[in-house]
Amino acid sequence: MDKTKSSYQEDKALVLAAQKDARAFGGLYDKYFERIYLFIYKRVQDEAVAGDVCQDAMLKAMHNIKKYEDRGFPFSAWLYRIASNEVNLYFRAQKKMVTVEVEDKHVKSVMLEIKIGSEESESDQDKLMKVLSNLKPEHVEIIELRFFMQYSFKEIAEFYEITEANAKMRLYRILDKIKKTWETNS
Amino acid sequence: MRKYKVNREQPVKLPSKEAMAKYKDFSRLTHEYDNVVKRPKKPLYKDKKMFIFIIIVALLAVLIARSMAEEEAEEETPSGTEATE
Repeated sequence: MDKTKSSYQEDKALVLAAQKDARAFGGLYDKYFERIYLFIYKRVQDEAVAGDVCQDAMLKAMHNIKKYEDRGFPFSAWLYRIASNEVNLYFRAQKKMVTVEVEDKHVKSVMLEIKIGSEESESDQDKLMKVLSNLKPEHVEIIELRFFMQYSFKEIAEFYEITEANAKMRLYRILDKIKKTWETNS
Repeated sequence: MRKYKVNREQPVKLPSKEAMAKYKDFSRLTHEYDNVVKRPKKPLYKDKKMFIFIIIVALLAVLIARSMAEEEAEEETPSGTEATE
């Protein structure tokens, strides 16, 4: 049995136990805490905030574990989605602007993909950041996953519980939107 | 609300395992879960609306019981005409 298959089986057993008794959620908590924490940290870039958001996400998962249905996707995808929703809720609730830093190599890769501006130009990079900042959190999420967190299309598909083709379509639709906004602003 | 900014200097540092461990606390999670799931522990008599509702129900029950007892008592006592016959 390969690693993915055994992890899938292990998760299945842990989920079943947690569905019977919420206190058994501890197994899943221990297994996924660090991964979920890092996922949140990369998006909020603050240790304490990531800790709080992670706790909220885990609480939601524990509360809703009975509603979880195995649709053939990894259990982690369900957890990541809850965590991502919590991150979006966190940003929505902030009255002050929260600054999120993006490495320039990731910004360049977005510019290369959409074919806009000159990727070496700092003003063009800043302009793209402005366009991204004005997007809805749900829309910018897929950009973060693909370009800032280096997710493969397979991982994005698992995250949204869709096919890889649909994941590609969803991403390119958002990239198209970014390109149009960029051109309108030029 | 969030604003993106290009980081042209050094890559964003990820927190260490020790830093992450500070936030890992399953007992806190179960405590929060209990608060969400369990019924409020506020006693009924401390809930004003519920207290008034219970008093009204109790009063109605007493009144109904009394009127029923009176009706039964009237049925049991024979009337004056029946007694002379």
